[in-house]
Amino acid sequence: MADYIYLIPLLPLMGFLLLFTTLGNLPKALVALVGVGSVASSAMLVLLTALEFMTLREPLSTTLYTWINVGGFSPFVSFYVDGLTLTMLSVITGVGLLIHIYSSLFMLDDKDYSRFFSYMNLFVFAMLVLVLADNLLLLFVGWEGVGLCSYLLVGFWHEDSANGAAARKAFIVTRVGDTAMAIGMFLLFAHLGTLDFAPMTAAAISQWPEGSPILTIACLLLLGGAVGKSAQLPLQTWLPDAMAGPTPVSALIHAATMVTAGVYLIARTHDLFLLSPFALNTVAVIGAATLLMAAFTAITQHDIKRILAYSTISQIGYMFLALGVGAWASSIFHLMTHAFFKALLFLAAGAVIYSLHHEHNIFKMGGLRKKLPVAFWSFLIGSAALAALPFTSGFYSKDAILLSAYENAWQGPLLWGIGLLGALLTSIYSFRLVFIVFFGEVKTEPSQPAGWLMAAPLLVLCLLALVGGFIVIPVMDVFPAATGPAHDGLIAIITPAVPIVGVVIAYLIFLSHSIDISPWTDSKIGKALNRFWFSHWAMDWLYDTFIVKPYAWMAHVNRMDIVDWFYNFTADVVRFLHDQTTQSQTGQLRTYAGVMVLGLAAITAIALFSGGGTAP
Amino acid sequence: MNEAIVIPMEHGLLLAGILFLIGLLGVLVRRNIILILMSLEIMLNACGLAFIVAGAHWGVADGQIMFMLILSIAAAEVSVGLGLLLQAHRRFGSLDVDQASRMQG
Amino acid sequence: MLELGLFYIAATVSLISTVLAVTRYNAAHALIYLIISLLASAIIFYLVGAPFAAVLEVVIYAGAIMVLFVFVIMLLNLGQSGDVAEHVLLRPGMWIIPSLLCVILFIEIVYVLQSSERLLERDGRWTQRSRVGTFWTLCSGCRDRLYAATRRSGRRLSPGTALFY
Repeated sequence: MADYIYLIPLLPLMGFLLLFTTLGNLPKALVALVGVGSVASSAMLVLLTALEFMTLREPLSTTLYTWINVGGFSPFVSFYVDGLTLTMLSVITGVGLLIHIYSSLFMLDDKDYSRFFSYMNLFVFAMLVLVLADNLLLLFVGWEGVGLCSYLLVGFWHEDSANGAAARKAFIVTRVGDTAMAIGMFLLFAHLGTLDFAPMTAAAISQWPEGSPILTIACLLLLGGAVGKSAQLPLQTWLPDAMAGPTPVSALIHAATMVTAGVYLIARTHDLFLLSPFALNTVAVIGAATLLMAAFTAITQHDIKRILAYSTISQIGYMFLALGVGAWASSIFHLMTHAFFKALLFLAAGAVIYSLHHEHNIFKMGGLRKKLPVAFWSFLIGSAALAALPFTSGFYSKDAILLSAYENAWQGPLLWGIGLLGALLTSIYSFRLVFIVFFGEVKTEPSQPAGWLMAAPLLVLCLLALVGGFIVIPVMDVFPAATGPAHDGLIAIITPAVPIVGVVIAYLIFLSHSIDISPWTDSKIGKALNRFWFSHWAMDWLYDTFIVKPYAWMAHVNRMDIVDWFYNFTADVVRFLHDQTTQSQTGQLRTYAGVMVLGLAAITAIALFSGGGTAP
Repeated sequence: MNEAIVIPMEHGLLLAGILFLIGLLGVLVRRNIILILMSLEIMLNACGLAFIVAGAHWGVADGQIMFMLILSIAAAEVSVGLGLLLQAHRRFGSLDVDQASRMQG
Repeated sequence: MLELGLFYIAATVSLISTVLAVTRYNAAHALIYLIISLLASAIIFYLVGAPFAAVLEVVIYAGAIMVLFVFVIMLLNLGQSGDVAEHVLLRPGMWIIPSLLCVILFIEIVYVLQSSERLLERDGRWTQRSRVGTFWTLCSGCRDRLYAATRRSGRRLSPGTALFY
């Protein structure tokens, strides 16, 4: 009884079509009703699916139709719901619904209200297809769909060309990863003959020994796609710029759902990665490196949304670390809790920005604790969860990840140490944000406190960020049973204690000012380091110098394009022949008749003098 | 039909061919639209003649049927052609077909 | 033999009047010659044993259609100016190339009629069945080559094409 599953993505798609085809001619109330209602209906259906899944305790699947049937390659458009998909579905529709409700007020003054909601609905549709797909090809459709929506929504305020540039950057950088992923898919299909997850996994296990080179290459290519989409090293540079989009977009796409698609992809194909220890270790190294780099960068930023963006990169680094050490369930668990608290933080930041007339610089904010209580408490809870303070949702997931990392056979303690350093930095930068924005003297007077449509989702997300750690996600049937982290006494104490230390440090530096860091930051090394970290380890500079500029130079050299030259030559030949043949178009009726007669004479001559063939 | 056999078919066809060629020559040479139309009539009539002669030679009615078809085509063609001729004369002030040469490359 | 004599007389009249019709400067004169030519054709029709066609030729061609021409010439009312204009339009040099083309076609026709026996033998089967002689001989030459080409290329015949063969 899974025949209504197709409705889950279909409803947002219909919402998109309705809003997109009416071209903003609907009244705003109706737009909001359609936009929010379609996601709400999907959420209801997900709830129904969850209930059914809980009773049946086995994956649901439904096949809509054969998509392509060519040469033994016949991917179906079919949906598959297991515990992993269900978790993703709940996050997408649940958090998505809250963000849609929030946006219905946040975006109210925007002239492209309808366009915004149509893109958002399209995004939800694509994301649902991504997680519901039961083969890699359909997943790729959703994958590209969310990429498109990301592009459209980052560049939503396209009148400002900087936003358009950010959108293009997001699109092109992720395209690099997507290309790798597509090649990985070709490789898998060429060797396994199918892209359906279950047969593909079975074929891979039977066909390839552990650590086979082709499998490793395929896994690394898939990882390339995941890295691009999830903004991990080395393709993470697009995400901070993607903050040019409206804040709800940042919350939904660039924090809660789309950027975690890479995590989902690797979790979905975990059987392949398990066969390739090298690929798995690469995942862990990428995750660890990214989380540390992004955390250092986040400390130096002063744009509220960029801080959150770097923290997103860092947190997804944790998820990759968890994937790399085989803690699949912890990774998905962190994905869910991160969706809660990061969406909460973004929405709260949006409320602050909304009240401060689009002010993004945290050093121009201050003392907002009393003025914006809802935003303050949301931020506090979100930051606590982000920093993984005990008993918040982030604590349970991050703790599990760090302990699993410690247990890992390959470089376990090192990975644990990096993760721990990252956790310390996380709590410092998140509480630096809280202390600077909400304490101290008032620097900008807030106006128009957010209405209840914005406050209600914040409150729900507060609740989820607090108690989300107690949710048991139903993924134990999906992943191989993990050996529960052995609670080594000292490790189990140090791990949760570190964030608290971070909070204290942040308090001492940024609120009580009892530690003066100005001698360090004003020193030569400190300044250089600050600049270095602020530019995100000069990643943009590296890309600009080693890829963009050489490429632009090559384009400049080849501006008399050799390919163009070829086609222009063809066109010139055609034009020359055209000019010649138009000479024969004299417009003289008698000339035409004369030529016809000449042809008649020629044809008759050919028929007469060429000798007949034998009749059959 | 015995007396019809007397006339050799080749001669009848030759006559039709020559008439056709004279008509064709008229179409090619004349610039007056009226004369062009007349030459077309000559060509059509020559075709009809060829059909009749051939039909008579084999003693079948097909030739005469084709002749009637050609007759009706000629009638239709000439009425349309003359209508166009009148319009052309009104527009160009002349019957010279070379005047109507605007459709060139 | 009377018929044969009449045929040649009518044919001569027809040829002469047609040549005159094509070469006249005055459209009305040309028309009269054309009518004579048509009447001669009608006589030939009668002689070859198609009296009904002969009647139609006189009634419809020489009668109805030619009257249309007469009407148009009257409507245009060119008079003397038409003759003058025609002298400008019809220059002797213009006859050369079209005549050359027509001579080529004439040679071809003569060749066909002369060698029709040989051509008939070549495609004997087909001419026996359809009995349209020379015309078919011309067509079947093309057809055979088409058919051979089709056979060589190994394509199957579409129903329409098969009907044509």
